[in-house]
Amino acid sequence: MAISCTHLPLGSSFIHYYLEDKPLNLSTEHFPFPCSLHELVQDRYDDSPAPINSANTMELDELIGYLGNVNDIELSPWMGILTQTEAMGDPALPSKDQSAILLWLGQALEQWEKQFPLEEALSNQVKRIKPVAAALAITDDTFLQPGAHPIHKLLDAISDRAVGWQADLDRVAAILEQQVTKAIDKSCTWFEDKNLDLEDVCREFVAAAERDNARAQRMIQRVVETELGKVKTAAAKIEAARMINSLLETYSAPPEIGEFIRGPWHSSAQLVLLKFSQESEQWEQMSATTQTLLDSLQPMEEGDEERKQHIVEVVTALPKEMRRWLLSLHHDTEAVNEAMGLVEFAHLRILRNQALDLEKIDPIVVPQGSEKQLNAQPSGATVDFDEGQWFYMDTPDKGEMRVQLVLKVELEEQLLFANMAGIKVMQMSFAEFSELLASGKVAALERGACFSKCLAQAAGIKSLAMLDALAKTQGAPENWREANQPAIEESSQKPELELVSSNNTPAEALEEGSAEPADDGAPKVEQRSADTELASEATLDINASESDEKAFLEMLDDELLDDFGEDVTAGAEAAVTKSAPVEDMTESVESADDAQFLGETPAKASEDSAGDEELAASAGPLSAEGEGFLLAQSQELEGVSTTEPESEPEPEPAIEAEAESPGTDLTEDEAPDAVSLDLPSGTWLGFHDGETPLMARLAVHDPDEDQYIFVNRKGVKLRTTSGAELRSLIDRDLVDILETKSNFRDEVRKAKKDLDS
Amino acid sequence: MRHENRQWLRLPLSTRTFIELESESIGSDHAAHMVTCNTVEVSRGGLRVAVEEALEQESILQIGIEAPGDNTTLYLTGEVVWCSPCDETPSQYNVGFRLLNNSDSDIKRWYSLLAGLDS
Repeated sequence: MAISCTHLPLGSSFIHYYLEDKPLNLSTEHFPFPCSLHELVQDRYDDSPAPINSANTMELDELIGYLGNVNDIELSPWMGILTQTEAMGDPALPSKDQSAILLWLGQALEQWEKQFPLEEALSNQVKRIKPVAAALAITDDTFLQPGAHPIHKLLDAISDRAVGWQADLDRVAAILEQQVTKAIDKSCTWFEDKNLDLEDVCREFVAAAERDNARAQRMIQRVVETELGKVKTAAAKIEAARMINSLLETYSAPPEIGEFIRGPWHSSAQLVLLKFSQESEQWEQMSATTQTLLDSLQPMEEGDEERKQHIVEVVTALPKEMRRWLLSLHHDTEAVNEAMGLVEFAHLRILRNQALDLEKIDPIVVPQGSEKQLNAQPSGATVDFDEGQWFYMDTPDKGEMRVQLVLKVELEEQLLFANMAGIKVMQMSFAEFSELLASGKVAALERGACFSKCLAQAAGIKSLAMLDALAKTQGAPENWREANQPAIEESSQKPELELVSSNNTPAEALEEGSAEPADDGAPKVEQRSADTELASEATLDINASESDEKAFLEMLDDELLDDFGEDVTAGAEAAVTKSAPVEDMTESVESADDAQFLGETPAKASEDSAGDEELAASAGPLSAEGEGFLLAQSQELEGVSTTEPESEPEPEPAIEAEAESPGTDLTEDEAPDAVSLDLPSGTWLGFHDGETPLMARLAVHDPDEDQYIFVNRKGVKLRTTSGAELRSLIDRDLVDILETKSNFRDEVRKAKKDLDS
Repeated sequence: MRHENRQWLRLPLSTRTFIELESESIGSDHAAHMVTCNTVEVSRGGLRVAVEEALEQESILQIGIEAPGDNTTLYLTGEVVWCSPCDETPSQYNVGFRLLNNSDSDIKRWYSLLAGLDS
């Protein structure tokens, strides 16, 4: 412990003890303290200046008056008083006890600003609470129990919420700044109204903060799901290609069948993987069907009756199996029939002992780097931070940022970061992160009872044993910590990985299924130049961020008008200066996003399969009344004829009202307000709420009808849902967002440039 | 099948138009297929174009249409209502689109533009 003599301005000086640099390892479960620190404070600040005699002891009212007049927010409470008394020539001083408390509080505030710094704009607002905090510290015994007083809770909550605050977050930043300003303004009115309900002030701030945080968490969830969707999709593509390529190495095939296998069959294989996973029986069956198909195309020797018999059996059974797995075409009967026709024609030729034009089919090209990714063993590098951790980063291209780690993909050794709004701002490899860490450009930001911890530190609490001993002396029960149920913590995002575990290579992940990432506590990150598919993406995914940010800000605008009744930008400018207390606005906003319709267990696909008969027979215009329709596979596994093509093309499927499915029926009265799910046109989604998965692209979102129309690559309608239904599917994890980019506008710009040049 | 039930005034406007007949596949395995053509007539609710390929009825396609008079492009979403061979040029097809109210499109700007042209 270092002892230092501080010479204060105006000639006064006193000695106080500096605290140890190592922070005390307290967590939220330790607060509120079950005991008062009064005696500790008195003892620790025993050398504080005291009045010469009782006549020079400042009256309480006078002391509070001085505190109420402190204008310089940089001064500690003690110095704020001393500055005034010396200017006035008033020899009075607070009592020894009061001085000790004021010095303790000043020390705690100083530690808080140093250890848990906020950005300047917010910090300047928060500092205004110093005088009222000091006044409460000397008048309210509860103040000496860290975590117990509403001011402690308020400052702890502000510290928590503002950990990610940056001025350049525009409206998001402005909202929090307004909330903080409002809370501080209200607290400062305590000098005028000693009956002010500070618990209420704290509750109001915490409620607003929780709402904002919930909103950000939803954004983060979407970001994480999109990323995981990409990982899943990439892994499925690689594994599907690997299965097919391994067979193409062994078997030749007619070129047109080779094209079919590399095209729709490969797409279907990906869908099977996405829906059922690599270790599923379905994948096994599809792999077997692929082999059977290729094997059946091999030449047959004259007189080989056994082989001929085998081919006859295959010819009978194979088409049915193929139709079952041809998921990528199941909406397009004509294409299915065309594909099956190729195979059947080839089989016919074989059975007639006619030679097929076989050739070596080129393997499916997997994305660059992904083969290495497939075969790469984990480097062993770990990042010893959990999802949810906040950081202060000084990046070469974006400058200084406060970001939260929202996803750690061990498999890819990739880290995904989001800002306070829940918008993805950065992605980097473990190696890149470790470089920044080693160079001191990354600092972990602590959260959780930050101000209360500083109160404890300033009083000299050095260990939990010391705290327990103090608590015992004041009659606290031994299990006092259990009584402090931790507050509901902001949950970090750990969405389940259906297909790819963040722990394994894609191949291993597909074999072993999802698993929690292993955290062996390896302290350091080893340097590794990751050459993974994710690493090849830009570290700043601007496109996704911009659409997410736009959606988020639109959502905010609606809420802001309800929260504050005014344009927040104008309000934010006024809030920077020390303003009059903000009017107490009644917050009537209800986030439409929170209107969740999780309902009952969603209908099983078997219930929808009853509509297959209707599907085969129906044809007609689509309903435009918001009813969804499910395009069911036209043939079931058993007992379906494989030889009847549709008599006429069906560009659109039959309609099956989703209302038939229990648990998903939404009456108009129950339906929430139309909510934009903020999916840009061109977003690819994978639906797996039915028996057969469906990959479709968003073509239209009609905000007036709250209707989403999904199509295939050629614009053929595949599915229509309402916003509520889609939201429900997403929330129940029955929809994956696979890809959000759409290049149409870029293509148009490019075409225009080429034509005009 | 042509829809004769027209609600809005048609304007015989020819302007360069881009239509995405096939989008890029997920993962960019297959490139998008876009055609350039010209409008034959436009209205608030739809437009007619002449293209070199037959389009599937009721398919929903992305359309980029150059605003007359300036270089800006309006991005719209249209549903193919009808498609028939062009009498004058058999290799071409007349295609009628119904414009859809897509939140992600410039449909409102289109309405304003048409209102300006109509007046």
